[in-house]
Amino acid sequence: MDRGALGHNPPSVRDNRPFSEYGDERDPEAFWAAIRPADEPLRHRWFLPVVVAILVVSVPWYLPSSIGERLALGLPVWTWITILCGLLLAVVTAFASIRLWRDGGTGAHGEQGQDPEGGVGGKDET
Amino acid sequence: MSSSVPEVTFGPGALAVLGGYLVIMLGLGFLGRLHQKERSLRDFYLGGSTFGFAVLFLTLFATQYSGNTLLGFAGRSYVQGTTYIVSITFMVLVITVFMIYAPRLFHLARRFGYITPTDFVYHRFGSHPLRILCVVLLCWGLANYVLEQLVAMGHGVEAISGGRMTFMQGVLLLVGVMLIYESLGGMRAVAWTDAVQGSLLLCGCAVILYTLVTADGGLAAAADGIRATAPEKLEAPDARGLRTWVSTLLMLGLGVALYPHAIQRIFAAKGEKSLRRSLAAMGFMPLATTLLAFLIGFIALSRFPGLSQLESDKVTIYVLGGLIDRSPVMYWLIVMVFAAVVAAIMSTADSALLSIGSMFTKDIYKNYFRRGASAREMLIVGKTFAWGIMAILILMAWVSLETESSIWVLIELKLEFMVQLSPVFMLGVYWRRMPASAVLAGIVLGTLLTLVIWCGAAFDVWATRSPWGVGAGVWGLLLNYGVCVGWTVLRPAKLPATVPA
Repeated sequence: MDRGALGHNPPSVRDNRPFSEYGDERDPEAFWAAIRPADEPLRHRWFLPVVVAILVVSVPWYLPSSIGERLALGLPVWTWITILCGLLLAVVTAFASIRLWRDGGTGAHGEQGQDPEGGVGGKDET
Repeated sequence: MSSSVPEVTFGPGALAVLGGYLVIMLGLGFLGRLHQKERSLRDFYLGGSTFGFAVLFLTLFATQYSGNTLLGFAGRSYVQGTTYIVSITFMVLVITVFMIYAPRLFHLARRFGYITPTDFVYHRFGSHPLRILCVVLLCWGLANYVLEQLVAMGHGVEAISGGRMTFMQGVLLLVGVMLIYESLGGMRAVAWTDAVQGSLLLCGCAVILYTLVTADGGLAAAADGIRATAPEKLEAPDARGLRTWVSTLLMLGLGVALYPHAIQRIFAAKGEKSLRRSLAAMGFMPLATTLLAFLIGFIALSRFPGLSQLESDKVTIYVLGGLIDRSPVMYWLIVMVFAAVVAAIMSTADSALLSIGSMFTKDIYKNYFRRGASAREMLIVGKTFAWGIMAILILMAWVSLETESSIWVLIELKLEFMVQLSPVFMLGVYWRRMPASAVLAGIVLGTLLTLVIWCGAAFDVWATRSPWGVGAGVWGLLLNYGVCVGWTVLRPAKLPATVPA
């Protein structure tokens, strides 16, 4: 694992050097190799179009401004469309969070168990 | 002030509730100190990344919904009318935006042990100027955010004490308590107090919502009142209003999702299950809290027409103050609601302040001043810096009291700049060929365009800071994304041979 990815090598190794010399300690290979979780919402092709569609409907561009005169339960009818779109967006977001996102990795802390390599911050960089 | 605005008198009972609440906060601070496992940045700033669903959800909730939600949003709803229903959509959209980059950010944070959002920025792009610029813009936004909470604290305590305490006394009291528990227990104390504050806030919102829709004819009577005094505020937006709507969605949906203290809560999760469940629940919260703030502004429009911009920030106090003398039960319910408002204000301010301290210590002090600094030294520096920032902000809150600056102006100032970091996270986690130079150029040009539009309006060079109904920050953001994409297409970063494009 990339111990120096964040400039977290032991102080004794590097502390006498100026920070400008540490740029080369980053390891893009380790970064990009570690970036993909097992599953994520954007990998599902329907997710983004559905979100955009809900947002488009939530903006009352297709209604005449005079519709404000019509009320339902004390609020203009058109505001209920926006509220319902908000509810729908919340449902889609919750579904994405619960069903479309799987981390699949092991971290330095937490429910997934211990990272065998410790992680850069596994025992704090200090 | 409008003559129809009620005098709000809470009596000594309310002060006792506030006092008791503050003592509990201090107790939780000491408890957080006792549970400290080690003297490390991770333990102090992320609570050791041990938060399960309940604490994580409540701390996310209490942090995301601030004094601004209950005071500032209600005021904005009063000023803007029913078109401010957009606030529900943009607060849900914040969580939806998390779904785009949080899975990758969380995955990386687990692997590499990020403590601040800018840990990711440097790790991904390897650029010192970019890291420093990100810290400056995020701290700028957060400092404004804390300032906004201080103004809300002053108004809140002034109201709940029935004038026994002044604005500045209220600010000093709450800030004093907040700094003590935060310095004692760090993120652990903040999250535990957030859990209490979040519970209070949820109960408080339920009480207000019930009261508003049942008392004095509810929403139907309010709509009749608005139709008589300001019928245009019931209408759907016109063409310019629609552009402003979309601009607001973009700026707040993308900008609020970049709050560093919210991102740090992603890092503080015990595991993915806690985080996923917390974020799923958070998606529904605007339908309680933001909707409530909207309704308070809606009802205030019918009951207190003609309030000034500054007075509009207090419509929550006016609306609830009008109900307080009806019965002893109502009195205590309203007192609890105001305790919830104070809770929301404190929980947001403490989280933002902790985040400022962590970024200064970890990203600036450790990297550019004292590379060999020990954990103890960095914690002392972080706390000292946070206390210093707070002293400056208290002074600024006092200045804001002397001017006609409303809470909403402060919000715009912070988000217009913070949203410029959006490509760093939204594109940065996906587009491998995007170089640091593209992001840096995009942020600089986007921020400059925002500043030019903003300053031009402030100095009367042109009439508005929202040309064509679109906010200055969104114009800057469009330029920012354009530069990032164009630059990357023309001069993509070279990839290591083993990294697939």
